[in-house]
Amino acid sequence: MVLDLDACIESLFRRQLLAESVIKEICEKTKELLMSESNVVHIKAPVTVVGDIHGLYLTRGDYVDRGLYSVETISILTCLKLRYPDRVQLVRGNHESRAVTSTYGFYTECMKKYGTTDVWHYFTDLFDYLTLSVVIDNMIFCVHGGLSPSIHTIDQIKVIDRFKEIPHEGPMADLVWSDPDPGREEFAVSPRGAGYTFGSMVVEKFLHENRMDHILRAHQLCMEGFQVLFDDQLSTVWSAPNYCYRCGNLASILEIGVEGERHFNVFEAAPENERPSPAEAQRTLFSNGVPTGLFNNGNGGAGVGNGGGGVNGSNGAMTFAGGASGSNGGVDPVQYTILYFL
Amino acid sequence: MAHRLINDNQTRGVAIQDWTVLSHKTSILNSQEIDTASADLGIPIPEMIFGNNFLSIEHKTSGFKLEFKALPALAMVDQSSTSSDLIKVSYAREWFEKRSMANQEHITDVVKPYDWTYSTKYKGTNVSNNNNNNNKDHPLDFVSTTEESIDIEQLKRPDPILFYDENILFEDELADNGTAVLSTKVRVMPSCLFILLRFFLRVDDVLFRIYDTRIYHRFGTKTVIRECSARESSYLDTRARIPRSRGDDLSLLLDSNWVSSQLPDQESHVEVLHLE
Repeated sequence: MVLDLDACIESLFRRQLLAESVIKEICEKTKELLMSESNVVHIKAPVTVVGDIHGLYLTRGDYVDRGLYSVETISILTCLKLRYPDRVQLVRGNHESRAVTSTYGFYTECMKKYGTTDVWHYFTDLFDYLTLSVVIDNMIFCVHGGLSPSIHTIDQIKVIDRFKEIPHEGPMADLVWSDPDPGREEFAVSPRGAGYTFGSMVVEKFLHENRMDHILRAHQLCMEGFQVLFDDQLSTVWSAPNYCYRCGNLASILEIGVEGERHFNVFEAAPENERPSPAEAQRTLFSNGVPTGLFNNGNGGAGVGNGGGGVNGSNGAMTFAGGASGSNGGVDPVQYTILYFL
Repeated sequence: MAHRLINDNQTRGVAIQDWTVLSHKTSILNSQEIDTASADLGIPIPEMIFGNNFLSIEHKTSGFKLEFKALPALAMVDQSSTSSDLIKVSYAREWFEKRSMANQEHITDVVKPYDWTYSTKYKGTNVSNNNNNNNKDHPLDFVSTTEESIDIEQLKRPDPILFYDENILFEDELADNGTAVLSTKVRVMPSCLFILLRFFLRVDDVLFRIYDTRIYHRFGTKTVIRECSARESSYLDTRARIPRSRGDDLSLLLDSNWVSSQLPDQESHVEVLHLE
């Protein structure tokens, strides 16, 4: 059977899951494609950059989403990558890992939707192939988290062996996890005992060394949907509005024009996407077997789709609205175990 | 018993007898508010900070009012010089060793120590108005007691629930190393009101910790009871309690109720406040 990607994409936009065998085939093909991609993919503007999506909610649907759509999200992104390999770039984020997705719900979601863990294995194997960074017009460096003390030049990223689970330490970990600290100049060690924050001088040196003028990253929630730091040398793009159905935050996607000009397209959650109905909430609560309303699949849905993905395309064909992973006490009189907490 | 539900955009609640219970929910703080809060508190703010959310209970005749808010709770997070030494992520040792091999020991700068797990024994902010209080010798404050306790049996009865609400005050995923959440739950029944303020911490492969504060008032009585408990256990011990039938499914570890039912009691402290 020939794989019909357009039909797959269309059915995903209708919120229909792909068959397990189709996912397997798509993942295999995408791996072959990604294998030849460098750790640093060079592309040209115009570009639309999307940050964390966390349980992406595609606008075609019009009912309430509880962030239960990580499978659909990664399915559609994979299909789009395969269909338009030079126009869609997916950068690996910290959630694109076996360890994180097994705790935060993507694993559970795969089990629930397919009855086996095979689909989770297909996708997490695929994650090992995702690129680590994108460079736009040799001027803008895009990465999920931030900079690493082991990396001074772009060439040092190119030699990382990326085809593996994200390690706890080293340059690959830093690229997906580190955060900027506007109050500092240099790198600092997190009080957690692992991981770095990086300051203004680090950014300055990196850009100078590599003759670039801007760093684009995702990874951090912010109320405004984007944040510009270090004298306009670094931007954070966050693309999940009303994260978890209660943060009330804006989201943005960043459009970069041919002259390198940056425009943040800020949007809020679609009204129908603001809060799940009690029925939906209840369904989620019980189907997940977590009768608390506090953590039901909440950060779970966030398992996938936080890849700060550079979507390269001159027409803004991709419309994403909202949809973070959700969790809030769905209130319904029959939810005895929730209401009668002790 | 007559009661009136309050539903005013971002604020929901109930007025019953002499009491008003309000739960206010709005968006996370914006960058400016975060900068201010961070400067005031001296620590980085949790990822999801609902600094303007609150749960409050107020007793009109006595002037008693208790609020639950994120920022006063965060002000109680340990910032002593050893505060970040107590708990490290599971792979901290490995991280430091590999780091020395990569010759990065020159980075000695450590983000100012603070308890990055955001553990807080906050038990509410007492904002009572003592002007209404006729008995000036006894301000409206909680005092330790061994004589009173929360009537659990009454709370187990399936009485009608007039008002229920859950309000998350802050939440942080600890850079994928777990979860720290401070949240309130309240239920108001014809005979009593009950609040649970819970700090829930999971540090993957390290530990679970729950600090609970429970507030109980039986309508018609003159007392408000507050009970605080602190419990923790190792991650592995807790994980070993997951029924085998669940296989590799770890989702129970995300459920603070389930984790709570598995943690051993550590300490519990009861206080009482006299409304007049």
